[in-house]
Amino acid sequence: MLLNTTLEAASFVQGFLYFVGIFFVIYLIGYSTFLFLSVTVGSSYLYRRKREAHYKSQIETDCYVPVSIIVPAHNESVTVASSVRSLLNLDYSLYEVVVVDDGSTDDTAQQVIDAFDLQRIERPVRMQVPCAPLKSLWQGRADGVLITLACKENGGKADALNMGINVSQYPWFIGVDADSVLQRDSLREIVAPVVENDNVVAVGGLVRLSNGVTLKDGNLTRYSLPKKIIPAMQVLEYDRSFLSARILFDQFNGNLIISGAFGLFRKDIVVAVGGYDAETVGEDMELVTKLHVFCRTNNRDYLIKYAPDAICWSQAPETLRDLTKQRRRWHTGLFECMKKYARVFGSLHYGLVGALSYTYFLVYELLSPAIELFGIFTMVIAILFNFINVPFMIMFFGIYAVFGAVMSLTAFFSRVQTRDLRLSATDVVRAVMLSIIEVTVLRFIMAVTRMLALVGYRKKERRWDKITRVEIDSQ
Amino acid sequence: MKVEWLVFFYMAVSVAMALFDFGFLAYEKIRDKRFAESTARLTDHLAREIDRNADFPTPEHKRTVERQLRSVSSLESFDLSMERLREGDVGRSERYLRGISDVFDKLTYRFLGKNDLNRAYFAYVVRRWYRAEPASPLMEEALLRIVRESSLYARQNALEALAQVGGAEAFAKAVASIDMREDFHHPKLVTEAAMAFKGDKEQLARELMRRFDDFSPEQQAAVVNYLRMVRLGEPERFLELMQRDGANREVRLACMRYFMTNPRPEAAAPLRQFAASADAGVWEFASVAASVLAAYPGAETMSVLRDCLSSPTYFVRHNAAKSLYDLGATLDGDLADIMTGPDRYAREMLEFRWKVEGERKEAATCS
Repeated sequence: MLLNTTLEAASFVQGFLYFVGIFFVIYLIGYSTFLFLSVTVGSSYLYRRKREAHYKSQIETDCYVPVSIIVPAHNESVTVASSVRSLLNLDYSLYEVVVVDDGSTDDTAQQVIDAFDLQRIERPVRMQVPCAPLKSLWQGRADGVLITLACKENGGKADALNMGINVSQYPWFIGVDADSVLQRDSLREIVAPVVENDNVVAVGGLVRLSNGVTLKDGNLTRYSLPKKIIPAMQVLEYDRSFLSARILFDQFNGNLIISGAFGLFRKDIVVAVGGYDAETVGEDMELVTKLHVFCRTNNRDYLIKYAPDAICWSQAPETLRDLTKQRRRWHTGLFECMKKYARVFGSLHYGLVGALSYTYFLVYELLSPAIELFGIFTMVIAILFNFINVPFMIMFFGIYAVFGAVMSLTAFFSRVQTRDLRLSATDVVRAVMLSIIEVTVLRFIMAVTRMLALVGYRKKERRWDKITRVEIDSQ
Repeated sequence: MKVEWLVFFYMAVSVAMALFDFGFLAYEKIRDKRFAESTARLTDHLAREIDRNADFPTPEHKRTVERQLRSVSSLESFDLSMERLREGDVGRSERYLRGISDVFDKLTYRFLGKNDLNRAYFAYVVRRWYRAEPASPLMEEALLRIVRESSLYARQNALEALAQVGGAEAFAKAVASIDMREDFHHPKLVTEAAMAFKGDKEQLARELMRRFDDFSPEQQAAVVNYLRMVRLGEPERFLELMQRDGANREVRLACMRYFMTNPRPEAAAPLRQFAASADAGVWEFASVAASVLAAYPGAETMSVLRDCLSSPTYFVRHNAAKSLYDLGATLDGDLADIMTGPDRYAREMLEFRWKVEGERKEAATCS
């Protein structure tokens, strides 16, 4: 009897593991194919663009598209003045800077007022998208650029961006994080797709990590991998997961995310969809997905482009604690967005956005921590029941790790080569070693973090990221 | 499929990608080195000829140069070399470039048969270094062909090259060719290229106006914008177009703006009518007219702009306040009744405009 029960249990476990095995083979083939495609498509795109730009196959845009740069800030007194200063010397003729102080409890607003000698004004503001009340409006000019500071009651980042939309004057706006620095040519580059196509509603720029680099007058003067391990691994992760993947999605107008740190939007369309959603922490993804839904629902011809030559330098969290906090927030935002737009999933009306982009984000981003942790759990069971060939398993994971690392390195080196950056031999060796650690250790930690974000999900969590800020090394 | 094959496949892909990474790095290094060497050789060759025969480069030299410039990388070498040599002696270099103009003509045959990237770069080099005046029909036709048949970048480079070296007729033909294509070419790019036109601007204006009715509304707006900036064109025609109800909105708005830079007494009344229009559906006309009226001083204009301050549309109020300021109205005189009146929106807009303009004036005085 006992023997029968044991045999039945073992047979059940074996059957269960068989199906789990098939699922994971399909899952891994899917992910590896995606990774391979994104890295090869991304790299070849970067090399092609480099060649085209080298041989003057590019449009020199300047004042064709007037742009408002919106800088939402909350308790950013350390970095806000230098960030705004870095925005004054951009290689572009027609733009303004709108800083929105979202009810800071420190002297963020005063820093801006003092640094740029702003004067209080009573300007009438068209409230086109909903946001918390305006407390005061300040204006001034520095280096010929109009700077407006809007002080409002606290309402979160999305709410602050909405205020920026209301206060801004131009038909296109860019959302920039207060701890970020735009590269000198970034406006020209991010505007290029708007001049090249007549149906663009939004353009995403490339966010690169400023840790370890030196910028002068908005230009990169020294590049190296960050000294600390956590930000250094993020450099590799950004190149593989964000740069390459977004180039791939861009090939079929399927990008669901434009980073909140640097994105260009057509104001009338954003106003038409009601602006940013203040009820989500992932306001950047929510807005882009909403734009897809709006345009497709209204059968509107549209493009959401990605401009990897438009570069914004942003600080990466330097400690594991800050990193997990950031990723927890990102994953919560992803969850809220996927839930809100679940109707997009598999719907023919949404074309490849529904079939590929949404599916990818659902399976390989939102559910991946659960799936990966489930995989580890079943592996433990398989080992306990002696149903697994351990040496083969180790070899499989080893090769999979090398595969992931090589993909990261390919994306990283493509970016380094196409931007004419020079790496020291030490950095090359560090990149190789860190790529292995990133796909094994960091990925696992992030899976746990993201899983916990789902488990501990609370609606209306805090609305501002709070990571330790330092001044960016820029002059 | 056995799972081992999957593992082997990953392994093979990893190895291939790693080889590609390092192989490409090595290839780029070698290529850069070779390019630097060939550029130095070409610079040397050109410098010797400029020294010896700047005014009359020999046929043999021209044949050699033509043979050497058959790829984009050699064109790039030429570009860099001429840049360097021109810095040394502008006069001799210019005379030399005039002497080798026919080399570019011959190169057109070669580059027209190549892909868009090659054509785009060829047009760029022609714009920089082709000096025949007037440009040969062969060169104009080659650039027109690039405009007609190539991608956006090549098209724009060729248009800019025509603006630099071509005649008015060829440039107008290029604008028409761009207009006939189905793919998008931003009208502002056309305006910008036209602004760079080096030839007879009056003739270009005549050529563009001759074809005006055949252009699409987008191109018509681009042409009107160009003519506004160079203060040429046919105001009577634009005035009629501005008032024609069935005409395209963007073209009509461009015509209205035309009369800001080029004020005409006969345009004042229709512009005032546009500004006074209470129809919310045409607020853009009212808004632009409120702006343009800054160029038409007078009691009637002031009266219309004062009414505009009570418009339900933000932009109409905004532009009217600015025009009133530009026309010299005063808050405590001409606009006192509005400043003490019940319309808060009008009052706030005036207060804001006067404060901003005051600060701007102060800043200008300080600087």
